[in-house]
Amino acid sequence: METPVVKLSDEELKTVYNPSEDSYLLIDALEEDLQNILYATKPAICLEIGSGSGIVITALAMALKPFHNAHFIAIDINPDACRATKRTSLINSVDVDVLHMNLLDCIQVKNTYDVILFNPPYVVTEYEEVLENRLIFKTWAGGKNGRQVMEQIFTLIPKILSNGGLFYLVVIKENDPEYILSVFYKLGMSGRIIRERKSLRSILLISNAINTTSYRYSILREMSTTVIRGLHE
Amino acid sequence: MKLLTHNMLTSRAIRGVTVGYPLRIIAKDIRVSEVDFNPEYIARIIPKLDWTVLWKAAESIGHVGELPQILIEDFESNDDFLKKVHHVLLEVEVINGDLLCPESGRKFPINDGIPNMLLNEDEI
Repeated sequence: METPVVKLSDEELKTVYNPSEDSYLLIDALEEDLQNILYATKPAICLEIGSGSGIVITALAMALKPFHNAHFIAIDINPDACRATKRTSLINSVDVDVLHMNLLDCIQVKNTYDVILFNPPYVVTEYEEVLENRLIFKTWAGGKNGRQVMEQIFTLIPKILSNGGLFYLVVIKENDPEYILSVFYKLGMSGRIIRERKSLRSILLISNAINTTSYRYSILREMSTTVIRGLHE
Repeated sequence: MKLLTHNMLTSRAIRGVTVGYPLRIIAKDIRVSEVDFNPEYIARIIPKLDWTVLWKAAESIGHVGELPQILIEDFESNDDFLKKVHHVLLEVEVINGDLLCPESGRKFPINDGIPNMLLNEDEI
């Protein structure tokens, strides 16, 4: 899968998540699924929640483009991320419709989407940090178990995925992937871990995390990240 | 914002709003651009749509053309029809304007093609 060109200004980097290891992990996971699943199921409508720079949805759009048409929608809570996503799609010659929105707040609940991508803020933090208004916090602060943001939309996922639709979620070990899979299962979705990347320095660093943005932000890239794929049957 | 995306948006999350669908469109700037036509793809999209909402949205911004108000049967095999749907869904784009909640009248401004649908805490 070709990696999209992403150009973020210094100003944008203050609030928009710079593509990092977890972004590339998700792209790798999608690449692995292209041949087996994505080309076969021919997704017609794809949605990314929290698109940031737009690198992931753009990569998916670029990969699918030679094979069949699809419509791509990206959501972000940060207006700078929305503009960045739009620009990233355009400079890579694909088309993504962008919505400035919190999670799925204004999305009609109907089984429409064939693919949903979510690289959520998953870092374990105090709940206050989830509520923090500074936009950069929205890129990582996950609250208790790092799940307090992603959990807000879990029950909606099977209600907006099409039959046979796929949900890709990036999580870390601290989010308890097995627990998340059990939640999906109860919601009528089968899921499994499809990709993992571990790095040497990981868990201990997190529990020792000093309460500053820059430090937490930097260790984000050092944690083990996982992509879960849920199938709506 | 393309009309395909508009078809999936609601303002129901606003406190006191019960349906919030469809959102009205006040278009100030519309861009029409040519997009490659793939009949098979359009035929796969149609079952996902609320047809009436699409038709009314297209009509409200003056781009309904000859699109029939009621979805025809056997649309899969009618390329002429699919081409019209293709145009309305993918070639017409609202660049600047507003979306309006049909119940509360709440405005969601569209700038550079991006609707701002961020709700304030006191609205939810």
